[in-house]
Amino acid sequence: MKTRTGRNRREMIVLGVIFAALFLLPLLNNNTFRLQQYEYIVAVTLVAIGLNIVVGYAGQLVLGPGGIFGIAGYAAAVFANDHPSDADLILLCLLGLVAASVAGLIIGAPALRVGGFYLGMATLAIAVIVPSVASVMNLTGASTGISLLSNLEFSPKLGGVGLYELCVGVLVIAAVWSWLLLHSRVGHRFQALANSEDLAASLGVIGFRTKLLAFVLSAWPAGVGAAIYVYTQQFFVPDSADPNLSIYVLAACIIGGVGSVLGPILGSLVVFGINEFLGGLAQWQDIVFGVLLAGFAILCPEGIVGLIDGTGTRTLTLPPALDPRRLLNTRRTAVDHGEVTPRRHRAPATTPVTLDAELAPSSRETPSLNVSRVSKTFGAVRAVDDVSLTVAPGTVHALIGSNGSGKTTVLNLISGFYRIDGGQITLGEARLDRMSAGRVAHLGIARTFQAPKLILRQTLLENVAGAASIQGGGHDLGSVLRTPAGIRAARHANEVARDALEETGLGDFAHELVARLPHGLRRLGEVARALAVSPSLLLLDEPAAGLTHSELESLDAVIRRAAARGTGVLLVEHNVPFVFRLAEEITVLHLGQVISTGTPEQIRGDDAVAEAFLGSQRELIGDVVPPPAGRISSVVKEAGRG
Amino acid sequence: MGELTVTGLRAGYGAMQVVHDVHLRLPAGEVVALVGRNGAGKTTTLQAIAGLRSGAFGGRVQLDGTDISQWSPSRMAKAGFAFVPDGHRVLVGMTVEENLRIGGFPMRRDKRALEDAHAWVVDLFPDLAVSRYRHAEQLSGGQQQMLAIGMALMCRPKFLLLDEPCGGLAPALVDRIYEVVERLAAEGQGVLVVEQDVQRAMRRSARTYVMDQGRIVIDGPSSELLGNTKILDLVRGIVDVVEGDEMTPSVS
Amino acid sequence: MDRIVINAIIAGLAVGGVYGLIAIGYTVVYNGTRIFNLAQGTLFMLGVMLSYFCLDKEHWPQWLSIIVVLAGVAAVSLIEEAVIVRPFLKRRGEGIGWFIATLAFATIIQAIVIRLYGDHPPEPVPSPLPSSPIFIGFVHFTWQQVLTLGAFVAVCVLLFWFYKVTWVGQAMRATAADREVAMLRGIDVRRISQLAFLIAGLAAGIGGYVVAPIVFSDPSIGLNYAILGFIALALGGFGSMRGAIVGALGLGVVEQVYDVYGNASYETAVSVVLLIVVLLIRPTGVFGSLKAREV
Repeated sequence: MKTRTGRNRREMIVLGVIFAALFLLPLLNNNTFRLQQYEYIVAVTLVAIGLNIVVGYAGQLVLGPGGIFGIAGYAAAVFANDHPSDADLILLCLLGLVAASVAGLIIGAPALRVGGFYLGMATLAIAVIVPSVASVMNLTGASTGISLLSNLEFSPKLGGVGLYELCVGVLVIAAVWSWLLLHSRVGHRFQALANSEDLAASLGVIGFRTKLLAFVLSAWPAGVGAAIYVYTQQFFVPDSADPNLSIYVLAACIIGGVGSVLGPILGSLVVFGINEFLGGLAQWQDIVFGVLLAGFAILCPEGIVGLIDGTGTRTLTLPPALDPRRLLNTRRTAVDHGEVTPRRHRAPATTPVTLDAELAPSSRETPSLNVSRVSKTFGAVRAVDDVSLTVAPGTVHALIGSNGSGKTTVLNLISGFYRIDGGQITLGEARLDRMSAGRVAHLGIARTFQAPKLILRQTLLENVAGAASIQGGGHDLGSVLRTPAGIRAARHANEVARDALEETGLGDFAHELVARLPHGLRRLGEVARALAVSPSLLLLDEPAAGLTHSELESLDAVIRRAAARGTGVLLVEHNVPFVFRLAEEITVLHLGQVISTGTPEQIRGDDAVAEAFLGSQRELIGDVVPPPAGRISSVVKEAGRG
Repeated sequence: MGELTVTGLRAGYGAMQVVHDVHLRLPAGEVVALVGRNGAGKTTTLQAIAGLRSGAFGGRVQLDGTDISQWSPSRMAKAGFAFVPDGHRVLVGMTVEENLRIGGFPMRRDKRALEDAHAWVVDLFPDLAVSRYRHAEQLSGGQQQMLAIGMALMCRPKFLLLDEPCGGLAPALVDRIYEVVERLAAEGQGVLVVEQDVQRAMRRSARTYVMDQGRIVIDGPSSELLGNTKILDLVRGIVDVVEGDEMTPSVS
Repeated sequence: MDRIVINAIIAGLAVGGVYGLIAIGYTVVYNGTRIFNLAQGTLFMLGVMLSYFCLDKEHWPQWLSIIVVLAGVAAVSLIEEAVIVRPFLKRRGEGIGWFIATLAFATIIQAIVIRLYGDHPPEPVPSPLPSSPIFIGFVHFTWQQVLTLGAFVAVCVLLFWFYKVTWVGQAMRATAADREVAMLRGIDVRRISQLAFLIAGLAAGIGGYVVAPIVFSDPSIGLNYAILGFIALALGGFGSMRGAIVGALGLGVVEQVYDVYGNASYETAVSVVLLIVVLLIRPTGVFGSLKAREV
């Protein structure tokens, strides 16, 4: 079984080998022209490393790194031309960095307000106009560009092999930086965003700000790369920032494999290696390159690294319950079809009942959730109509009703994913109904989703620890730079995550890739992730759907424990007997309205409820007395399927 | 009298098999119910029968004896098979009238047949005549569901599969839908209904199939299964089915 | 001054007609398949280059040339649908892979054209139309401009009729609204996708043919036009014909009016700045039916 730590180690080894090879390259051939070629490849590989941060880690379709490269390159070139004696490599790199950051902010701020192909086309447009504008401006030397070669005062102090090795050194630093970023709080935020904007919001990640951060961070290596280009090639012309460069860099990321540190580096070597060294076939190289890119995009979207890892040549086809488009279509009726049947798997072990202080909500005085006369209409459908309920801290309150009763809509309204049309929602003093999902999450409200939103290419532990570190204490800088405080915070997040996984009975699966886990365990994983942020209010969206009997037991135990710690729990559920065993208070919704609220006994005896909803199930409820575990196991045995 | 026969159906997603060896029979002129808890595989089964599942592993679907297992959904529509997915999905941005016309797409060359079908559908669902020029997204959930079923009926299907047609509907509308279902059966069509509400399903059908974890665990005449509390327990998720355990065996 | 502006507006409408033919290509494909076909600009370039080939190199008559051009571009468009796009249509909820694949296809076509065209600079394509402008009072325009705008208008009218009246057009609208439901109700959605690409290819071919005399035979213009066509849709609003028309004509007019007052070399940059402004103020465009954030 390929574990994540095994993969990390493999990645580092391969990177080490590549860097060693790059350092040793001059032994093969050290004539000036070749060295300049290699230095060019280093420069564009830096751009690829940068692009990978915003495209691979954060999942945003950004298509024009060449634009930033061009702006930074011209900045460095103009400076070097005007101050040839001051222009040393370090200074140029700093200048490139600053220019790239500014450009990144200015371009990113408007462009990132949109996503998908809108963003892709907008950034591509930038990549196209930078060289076209530069070729008419006098400042940038118009169509002839800026040539440092012809500037007699420009004599770089570094040269030859020394310069080359320094460039490789910069590349190594960039790779290390990218690694540190990926495995930090910031990296977790990016990956949550890449997985699903909803997931990110539920973890308190503010979408726009995070995207902008990713964009600016991705500009840094591009800026440094541009400076290296200027210093080593000693010119910068409109063609240096040709739109094709952006396409090649993007291809490098895709072919190598987005989302890992190794991917863009490997991809760059492939793409630009072909470019530089296929001299005789130069006319075919673009065609070959295009075919290669198309092939990878269609057949192998995870790139070469993905092939090696075996994480996927195809994205998994999704069952209805997990299909995002289906969820979009059925939003109004809140129909859940947890249609995935888990393969028979080892059942989660029963866990000792210890109250874990780590997972307790932070403040002793946790406030009550108060939903007051809330309504929500979608088009002509009145999904929620004048609904009120209260969840006191440390209690389990269930919200039940048939399909389309509005249960999930209420949950979405509370957690800030929908705007209410009327009424108000408060948590203690705070007005939730005016807040976005991210702000709601910051108040200590955690939620799960009907379709588990775990990051498939990570392990359970990474998912849960990632969530814990995002919402835990600590600073981004400390997390990335691995300061003592940062390391402590990361370790703490790990511990909290392990505790949460133990509580949900998933301790044995901590190092399994989520992609390999069956549906029921993923659902429990969702709950673990929600617990790991030590919420004061836990919103569970149909956590029991599709769970086996023993998984239901684990879920029951976990919820009880959370409540015992002081967390308020609002449980939206379908499974009526499960709810009747567990909840202290039940609200029954029917067609968007509350038809009854009370204790399980009260609901059982309520005629209106029986009529409207429980009708067919009424006899059932009447008969079921919460059976002790022993009784049930004498009736039912776990089937032993393979 | 014809029948839609499903034999040994296996279906899933990619490498994950979700439906195992399902056998179903939908005779013309009957209402058949398919129940089971969330996650049992009901929707996957229907999608596989309708030809939507690319991950369908195997089995056979026969319409009046003809093997339609490999047919495309559009071909099946022309042959008298209709599947209405759940969630009252209609064509947004188009009017009720246009929606119904699309329902009759396979018959577009036969103007007369189209008009007859349209008249018949409107007779079943008078609401659709009243709101014919309204845009589909402006209708209420119940009206959208009626439109979705109406669209499917435009081709005069011999066999109709409805996935949770009553989800989110008020009791009055549920009754209306079942009235139409019963009328269709009386006119000789076979209707399979996937239902959340077990008792309602059993009261309104001639035969019930109970699904759990991708298999049919019980099936039989609905009247006989009505009082079986074990089925209710099963569907409510209290118990799991055990291989070889004693549930009421299939009554054929 | 006003006269110049008015003539600039007229010129702008003609330019807008070209952008419109690209924008319509985007819209038809998007509505039929939910795919934004970035290679549309390259298809347009292909139309231009094929026109050059037929008229300038081979000196074929107009009637033959136009058939060859339309057939050629449409064929390439269909190839794209079959090889590049179809794998993604089968998988729902795919991320960005299709965008990259269409980008790759554009790169391949451009590379092939450049290879075939060789190294010589862009050349003018002969046009049968008289080049002298027509004067009505102070207003002047050329036959070429009339043809361009006329072609665009004709295509729009044809498409309106197609969508409203014909069965296939209705089927295409249905497929755009809900692909699965359309499929279940008997529509062959695969054929619909092909048809969408066919129509887009024809639109690009008409655009290239009509505009070749002005644009010269330049294989590198594909990306530029792809972006300009996109900006047109960003202005007018994605997903509707109305949006495509308003946005394209609007962009053309803004561009030509700018040329009157400003440095024409910065033309494209100004359009991009306009895009940025639109993204800041109203990302959905004038008639936007689509949340830009959800694409």
